[in-house]
This record gives sequence, C-alpha cells and structure tokens, in this order.
Amino acid sequence: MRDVAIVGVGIHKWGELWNMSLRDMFALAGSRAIEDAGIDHIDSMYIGCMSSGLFTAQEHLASLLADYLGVLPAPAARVESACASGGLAFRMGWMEVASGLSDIVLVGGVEKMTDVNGDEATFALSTAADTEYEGYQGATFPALYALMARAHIDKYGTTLEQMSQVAVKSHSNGALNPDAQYPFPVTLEQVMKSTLVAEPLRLLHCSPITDGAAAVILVPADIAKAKFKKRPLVVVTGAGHATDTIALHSRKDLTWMNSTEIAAKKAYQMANIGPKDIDFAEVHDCFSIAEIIVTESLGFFEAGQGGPAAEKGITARDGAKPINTSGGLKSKGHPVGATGVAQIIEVVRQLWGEAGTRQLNNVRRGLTQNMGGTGGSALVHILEKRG
Amino acid sequence: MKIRSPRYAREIPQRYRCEAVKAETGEIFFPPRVVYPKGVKVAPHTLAQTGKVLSYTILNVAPMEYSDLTPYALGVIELDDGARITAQIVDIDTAEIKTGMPVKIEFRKLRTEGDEGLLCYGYKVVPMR
Repeated sequence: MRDVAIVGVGIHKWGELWNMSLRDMFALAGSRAIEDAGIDHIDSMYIGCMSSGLFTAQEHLASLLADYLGVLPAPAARVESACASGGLAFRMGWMEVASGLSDIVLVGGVEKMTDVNGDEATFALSTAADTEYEGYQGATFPALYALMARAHIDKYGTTLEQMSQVAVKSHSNGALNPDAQYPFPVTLEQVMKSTLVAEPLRLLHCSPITDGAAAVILVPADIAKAKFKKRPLVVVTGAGHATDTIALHSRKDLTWMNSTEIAAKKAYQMANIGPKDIDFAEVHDCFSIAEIIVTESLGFFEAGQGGPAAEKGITARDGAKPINTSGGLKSKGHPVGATGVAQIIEVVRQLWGEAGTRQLNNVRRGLTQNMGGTGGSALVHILEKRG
Repeated sequence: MKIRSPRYAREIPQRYRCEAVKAETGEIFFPPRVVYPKGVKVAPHTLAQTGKVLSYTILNVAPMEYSDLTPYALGVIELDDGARITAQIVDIDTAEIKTGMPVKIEFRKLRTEGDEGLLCYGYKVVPMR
C-alpha cells in the first residue's frame, strides 16, 4: 500500500442556499479543490451523498456531477452510508490511491436539504434509522439521540449544563469559521432555554439542516513530496471503518458507540499510536450528546467523563484536547453527505497552518470521526504532518 | 410518501402478533431473520407483553405521518423476556413517565399512510396500573 497525501481542499459558505442546486454546490467545492491543488485533471472521483433522491428527486450523481464539474469521462461513484457518506467516500478514494489504481482522486461530499420542507427533511433523515422498527413507531433522529442522552444521564449523571456546554464551545469555534452556517457564539443560557425538540434535547443541542458541499484531492505521498511542495506534507496514517446494528434498541449499551470504538482501534493500530497521541479531532456532533459519547468511545476520555471534559474546557480550542475547531456539525452546519469530507478539510487546514483565527499551535496529528445514523456505521481517519 | 400494501402486509406478524424467534441461548431476534449466527438454532417465540421503560423522550417535532400527535412519548422498552423494542408510550401524562416504569404492550392504530390512506396498526405500550 502507498502512503496517501491530501494536496488540495475546496469548500464554500454553507447554509440555506436557496439559489444553489446540488450540482452547483458540488461543482463549486470540487473546482475549488482542483484549483487549490493546482492540477489539470483527475483520474477518478468519489461522491458521498446520503439521500439526493428523497431531498431533490435526483439519483445517478456519478454522471451528473462528473458532467457539471467538467471532468467527463473520468470514472465516478456515489457512495452512501447515511451521515457517514462523506467519510466513506474519503475511505474509497484513499483505498484507490493507496492501492496504486489511481494517482489523482477527488473525494467530494454534498447534500441539498432545503428543497423540501422541515417535515420532509426530518423524514428523509429518519431513513438512516430502521424504517420498519424505529421510523414506523414515530422515531426521529433527535428522538433517538434523546434516548441515548437520557440513558447517559441516568448511568453517569451527565448534566444538561454539560451537554449545553458542548454547543457553546462549538459555536465559539464556528464564530471564527467564515464558511460556517451559524458563525456566531451562543450563551449557555440561550442553549438551555431554546425550544424543546425531543426531551431532554433542545434546538441548540441539535445540528441544523444545511445545504453544502466539500471536496479534497488525494495523491500518493511520493508524488506529493515531488510535485506539491508549497505546503507541509499531510498524510493519512490511520483508517478504520466499522458497523453496528441499525436499530438503537438492539444495542446492549445505549450510551456507547461500538462502531466508533472499533473503527478507532483499527485506525490507531494502523497509525501505531493511541488516543493520547491525537492532538485534536473533528467528531460527529450531530447532537451535543453525540460528541460526549463519541469522545468517550474514541478513548479520549473514560466512559462517563465526556460531559465533565466539555464542562472543564478540555475540549475547547485552548484545552488539552480541542474538539471540533471548525464549529462542528452544530455551528458549521450538517449537509449530511458533505460532513465527513469537511471534517478532513478542517484537520488538513490545521496541519497546514491555514486555519485562520482558529489556528491551533504546534499540532502534528489530527483525527476525524464520522458516523451514520445512531452509530450504525462509523469511519475514523488519522492525518499526520510529515517533515 | 407513498407506501404500498405488500410492504405493510409483510410486517403484520411482527406488528400485530409480536412474532419473534428465540435461540437456545435465550437470545431473542425481533423481527425474525433469514440467517442467524452459525450454530444458533431458533424456535418461534411471542414477545413478552410486559416490560419496563429503559429510556424515553417526548417529541415536539415529528415526521409527516405523526405531526398530528405531538407532543408524544417514545421509549426503548425492555420486555420481561429480555427483548427490546422502540414504541410509543401512551395513555399517560407525559410528565409522569419515568425510566424503569412498568408497561405493557397494546395493539393500537399508529398512522395512515400514502394517498390511499392505508390504516397502519401495531404495538404501543401503556403504563401498568
């Protein structure tokens, strides 16, 4: 297997983009990544997208997006693993370059979510759960994460203040990210008094509905060293991928993400490091409780200590383990298929030293964790700066 | 969204009659599957009709078919035979719901689906008094 480097990134301002279509957003992010890398062609392309059919009545994205990005007849494939579709696309691109099959691969993610109303979007997202045995009973994603939150509160004494502090922290980071959907701070009081969505989760514990796309360019590390010298070399040193039951009720422990734990162990093993060696991470905070559970399942904190860690500021930008410096899904936005790719972009920018006013000091190693549904699938990647 | 009746009819044994299967090890599979872990032998089993609330939430925002019901309670229910299901908790003031609360399964209407207005039934749970 060859080492794989990231040599270009492309993203745009996310939000409710009434004037932009799915193809417009993808072409914008994709062309920015191509321009950023300074390349004149790509060998192939992977696209992460969860549900363009339900959101925009459009399938066959491989053809559509290769056409509108202007890369025909390059091979392209759209991959889906619910909210982890972007992370999965990255894994596919990494595998193709690592295997030697291609030298320049574009990995993109996209979701156009505001062409339907809120009820329809809630429904489309609910298809990432068990449609027949959760969705049929009236479950929504806020509800399923609320069930996890209640269980975490009961088992560990996690508090609403701790969960709310996760959102406060994410917004404080997102306020420094010009591409974020909601680039402004929120107070603990605002979070704790926001509208109840699914008790105990309130609106500001939930990631928003977002239109957006993101893209990165992958090449072998040897080629990156020889031809892409303008920036520090950033290489994928660990990759892990795992699945779990689609239905939350089938899990033995409602307060743990088994797929994340296993994907992380695989990635740590490949990189030959442990959770303590990770300087910072972008994790899947689709709901505040998710960030708490995920930081525990990744091994950053003991089970039950994710809430206190957030409350003590350990996960803040100036803390010992900064989490979601981009603003996370909460503040940056969560166009589901694009999220996993945007996480990679934030880690790469931090390692390049191009993260602007939210730049971390002296970071060499970052991790991304992207998951589908209530954790039925998870992808973890570790990126390291070389030299 | 359009739902076709064959898809609904396939789930009737589970939704109306709580038909599951039980392995010799005691593990319950609900719904029954086409394949099981190697060496596991299963026999027909009807889910226990009583259990307790493992976790719950009250939804103020719902998918299309359930919009009329908000606010409603949804829980993960652990039945007395160890099986777990997701179900609405009804016939109770939502403020009175607690984890660990004993409940029992009842056959109820869940929603109407599609342009044809297909009536959909299944299980919900109610408090045991």
